Amino acid sequence: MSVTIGIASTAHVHTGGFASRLTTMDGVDFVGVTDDDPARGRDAAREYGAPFHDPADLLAAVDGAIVCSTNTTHRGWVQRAADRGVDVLCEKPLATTIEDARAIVDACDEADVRLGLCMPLPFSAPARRAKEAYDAGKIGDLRVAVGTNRAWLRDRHRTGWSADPKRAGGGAVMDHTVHIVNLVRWITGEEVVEVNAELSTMHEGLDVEDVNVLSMRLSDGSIFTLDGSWNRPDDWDYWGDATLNLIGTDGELTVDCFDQTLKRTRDGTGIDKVYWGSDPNDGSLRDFVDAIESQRPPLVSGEDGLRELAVVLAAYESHERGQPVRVDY
Amino acid sequence: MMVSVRRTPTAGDAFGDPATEYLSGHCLYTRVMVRIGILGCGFLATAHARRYAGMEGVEVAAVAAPDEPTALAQDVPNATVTDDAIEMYDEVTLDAVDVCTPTTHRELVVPALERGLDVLCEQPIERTTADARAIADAADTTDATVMPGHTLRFVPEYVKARERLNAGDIGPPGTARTFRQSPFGHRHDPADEEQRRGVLIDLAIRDFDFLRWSLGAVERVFARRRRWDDHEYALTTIRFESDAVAHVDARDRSDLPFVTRFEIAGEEGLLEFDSEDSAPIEIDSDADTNERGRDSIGDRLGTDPHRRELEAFVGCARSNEEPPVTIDDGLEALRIALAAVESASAGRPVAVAEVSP
Repeated sequence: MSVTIGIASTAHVHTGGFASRLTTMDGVDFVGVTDDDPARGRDAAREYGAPFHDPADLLAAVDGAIVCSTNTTHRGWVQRAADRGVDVLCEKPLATTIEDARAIVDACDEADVRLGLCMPLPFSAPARRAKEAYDAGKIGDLRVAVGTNRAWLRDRHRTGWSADPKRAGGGAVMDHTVHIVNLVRWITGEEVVEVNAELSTMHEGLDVEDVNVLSMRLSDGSIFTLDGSWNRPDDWDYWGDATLNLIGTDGELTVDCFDQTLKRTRDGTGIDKVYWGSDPNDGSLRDFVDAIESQRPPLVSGEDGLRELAVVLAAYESHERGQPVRVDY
Repeated sequence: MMVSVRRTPTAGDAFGDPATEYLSGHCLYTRVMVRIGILGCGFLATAHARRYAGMEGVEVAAVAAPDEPTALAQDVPNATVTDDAIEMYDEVTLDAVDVCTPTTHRELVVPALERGLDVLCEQPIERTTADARAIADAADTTDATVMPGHTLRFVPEYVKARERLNAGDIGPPGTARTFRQSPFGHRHDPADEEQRRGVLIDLAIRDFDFLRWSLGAVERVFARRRRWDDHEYALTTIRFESDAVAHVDARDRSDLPFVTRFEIAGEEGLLEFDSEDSAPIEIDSDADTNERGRDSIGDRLGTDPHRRELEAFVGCARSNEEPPVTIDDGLEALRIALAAVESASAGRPVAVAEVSP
């Protein structure tokens, strides 16, 4: 029997990719999309070749909904899905305030629906190898972690809202902190306990920070820095990166999640990279579908999203106060 | 400054050697012999002695180190060898002194300056700003100059990156990252152990100086560090007065290869370098080869930064011009490093202004 899946809101840049994957995924009946902006939803539906439904109709017809709305509206969509008994895979970050994130987790608990987070990196093949090596004790006890998750800014112009504080809830910190924090938490099992942030805005005309350099301490005393800036030039050869270097007492490992590319040169266009590795977003979707089928929790939970948001908010607080901030969970 | 043979330089004296063309802004005069005294007998002293040997118009006249520097003496067969720096200053005719000792610079540099000897002083110029200030004050009161040995300013990829940044290739800089993994950093000076300076003051200071040179004045730093076995890691975030932000990753690992990386991202572009990606010549041979020893930074296919640095120093010693790296540069780099040391121990951001100049 197929699992029925729908997409709730087409605001997010990932929506099209999700739609095309769901259309071809074994064991999935992709029901279609909905949106609180019907014009945008219908345009997207046409583009994806998928049906458009009113929100209530879509939620009545699916086992699971993927919430692809703007960051600040996740709570409303998750609440609606939970009220209908629909399992939820929510785009990251889970929310933009702790209050909203807690309400999302509580709503899903009370309705007894599954809540997963769209966090692809734990499904990246290189990252999974890194976790295997870490769990096998290859680097001994962790001491130092250095991560990067940089991106083009042009991506922000295209999607239209992820650099808008009203809809995104922030800039590069809100957007590009959670992935590597999630990866560190998933691989090592340690929590971020303190954050010091240096934030800035290097691109003219931007209302949010695009420079996001964090210095953190983990629960085991390890030091951890993350550069999650939107600082790749528009003509860089790739959209960005996701890397993590873990150094321990017996060795180190480095994972570069998207370093499986062809170098392509086209006259008039220049040089870029073409990814040929396995797509971690497929893994994230597959996990959600499997979780529904086998009635287990998704790999990345709402609680994970809550903790990663706490790190994000501590980074903003650190920036405002000009000092390191303890992360409270 | 004392020069053995005084004469008025003419335009025809300038080097025509392409290897020194980058110094065209400085006067270089070959026929005035510059007599150098080297202090120290370690890796750097040896590296410098070998390069002086290949330079025209330069003679290593003496070598001084607390333990008789017998190994180094083989590289400079005509030099007077002594274990007393002050005795060397007073008894050997010298124009300049090259201080390659890891620590105790003040007590070696100040007497040299007082005797009118120009000084090239290994970085960090000192371990405290008071000691560094004493060197600066001594330099102020004499004709002699002191040039801090911030060799990175002569490493071609760093020089080129700064040149392209200044040419506007990438627009105003917003972020920078540097990475330095070095097996050469061990000093284990007891005072440093006590004050936990180590990797920040010995290794990261190179990148602090480069970043200040390239991105301008530093407002504050935040640093974290970890030490275990004989390894030390320090991760420092820097905020510049321009609001640019940098991340400096310095790793003291005796067991891992020397690796450097950097990038500077601007509003309109990006400059990136990774020493692991640069392999202009690779030789795979079964034939016996002579071990070249520990001098990786010098083997740069005609762009040897040590040679460039020493030529700049000797050129200034000859011409009496301001060195390309000034004592203030050395002092400011030290202040950034000491701010980072304080930040790492206090667990808070530290403004460079908090460190007395």
